[in-house]
Amino acid sequence: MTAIIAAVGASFLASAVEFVEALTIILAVGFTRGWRSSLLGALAAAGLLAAIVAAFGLTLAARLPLPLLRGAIGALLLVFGLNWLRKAILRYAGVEGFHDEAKRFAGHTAELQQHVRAGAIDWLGFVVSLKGTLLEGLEVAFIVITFGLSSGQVGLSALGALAAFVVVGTTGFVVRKPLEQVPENTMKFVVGLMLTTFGTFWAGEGLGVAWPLDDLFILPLLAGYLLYSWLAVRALLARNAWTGAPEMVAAR
Amino acid sequence: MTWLVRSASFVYDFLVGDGWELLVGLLLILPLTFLVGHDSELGAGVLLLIGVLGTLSVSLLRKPHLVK
Repeated sequence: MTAIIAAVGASFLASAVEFVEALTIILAVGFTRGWRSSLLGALAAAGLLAAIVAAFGLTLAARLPLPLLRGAIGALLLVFGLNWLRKAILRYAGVEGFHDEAKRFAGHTAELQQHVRAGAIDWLGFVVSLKGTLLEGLEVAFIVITFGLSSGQVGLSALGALAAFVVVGTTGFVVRKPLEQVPENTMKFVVGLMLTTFGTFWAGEGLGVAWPLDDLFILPLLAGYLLYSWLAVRALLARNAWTGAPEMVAAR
Repeated sequence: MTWLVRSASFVYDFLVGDGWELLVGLLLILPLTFLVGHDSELGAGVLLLIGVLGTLSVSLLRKPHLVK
């Protein structure tokens, strides 16, 4: 049950974060190169991503035994999750800057306006929208496949991503501007925590670890990583205050 | 051959990015956990947890030095 909730939750949160970033590109293309090319590019990318999830998710689930899948995928989740967790901790501690969707939007818009527009469908807009959505969506596909396979719930995991797509897409359509208010770092932090926790648990199982309490061990593991993250942020903040690093971060 | 290098580079950036210490740490810890797991299932778990937290700590501590 824990794994199922996590599969849907992690997929939803990770997808929402990535779709917010993709939305910025889609909006920038829409406003500068036309909505037709922008939406067609985004739809083509969404189709490709769905095909990737279906092909890899279903093929691997059918061919590989669950213990092997959990071991290998747990290790992959661990690398990926630790990276997200690390970035979120560094942002909370002021060592790395937060994502600024408005700034990204302005950058994309300025770049796209430099090129002359031609034809009913603007191919530059189509390609930029497709590439942007595809690249942001690949992380979503990765999480949907890995979490879905390990929990044995590829369908539910994909449903979590689809729900995020609908929520972010609808919100973006209504407000028609980058979603700056979304707490991206908090969402990335939560997803990083979940990926790291489940990655540790499943990789351990695959490598021969017998966790105490079985599946219930996921909860103290999650609490432990949460405590570690809080301590790490405090320690980095204290260290930055001591060495004067925040001034240098602000100057970047 | 170029496509292979580009694909490998893409996968590396996708999974690891600038957190190479995480990859190195896990490449050391995971096989060790597997070896220890043959003798002590619980010991392997403890080793894995210490290894993961140690790796993350090293990776986090490296960054402020870069900023300076």
